[in-house]
Amino acid sequence: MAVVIETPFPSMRKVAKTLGVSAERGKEIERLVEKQYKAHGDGRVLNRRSGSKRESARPRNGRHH
Amino acid sequence: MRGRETAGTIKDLPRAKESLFLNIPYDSSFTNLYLAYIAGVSSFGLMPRATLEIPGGERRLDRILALIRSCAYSLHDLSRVELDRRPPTTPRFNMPFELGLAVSWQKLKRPNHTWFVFEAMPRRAEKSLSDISGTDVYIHNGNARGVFTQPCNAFVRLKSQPTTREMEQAYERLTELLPELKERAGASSPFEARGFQDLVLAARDITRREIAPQSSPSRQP
Repeated sequence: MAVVIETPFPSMRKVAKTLGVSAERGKEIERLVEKQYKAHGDGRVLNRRSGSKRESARPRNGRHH
Repeated sequence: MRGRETAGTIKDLPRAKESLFLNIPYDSSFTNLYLAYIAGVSSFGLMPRATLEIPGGERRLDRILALIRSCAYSLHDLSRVELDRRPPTTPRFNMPFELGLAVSWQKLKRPNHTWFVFEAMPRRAEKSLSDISGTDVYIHNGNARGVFTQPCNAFVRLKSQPTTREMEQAYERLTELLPELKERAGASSPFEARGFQDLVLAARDITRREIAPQSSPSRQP
């Protein structure tokens, strides 16, 4: 059973409204997510399988040891 | 009162064509798949809804029916078919029962309602629930990646579709946020009303960041 859907991503406000929570709480969650993104850079470095979630503290000089 | 919110009564539930009723087990061993479903469903621009989010006070069955009515889609995970360890040992009938409600709703009242069945093992649902033979059952193999792969088959989009990698990113973000969300809510389990709402809100924001910027030019309103 396959279905074709064409739906835009609902706005945070709409999600909050549909869930029956305040827009303020939606903003709180947005801030939380924002904080996490800031802590992890652009968000494209997460890699649990490699065992590291953050960039290494050791400066990289481009050499492979 | 500040800080206290309710989701209203079942009559207040808005109909949303982009909402999906998530019919899954609520237990700690299912937490990873629970997060995967929220991340995966949100990645398609759909809003997960669950019986968790509506406060008590109304009959549970009425709440379930109201949620199914308010959603254009429903997703039923039938993977929890084994006996519950807690005495008295019984299987869990809630998921297949709610699937039956959704099928009835679609057959008798709302032909546009679309329901999906998910399982962990191939061919098991055909045995445990032979009445649905002939229906495609999506197999997630009990892991998050399976949950991401299968919606791609279920929700065939015309122009844009989140990749499994994008869904994985959203899932990893959500997994990282979970401890903080639980702490904020003062909850010991993510299977509570506020925890679920917070996860859905967070998933919405994460998928907007992870997926929308890349796919929005080809996404039709």
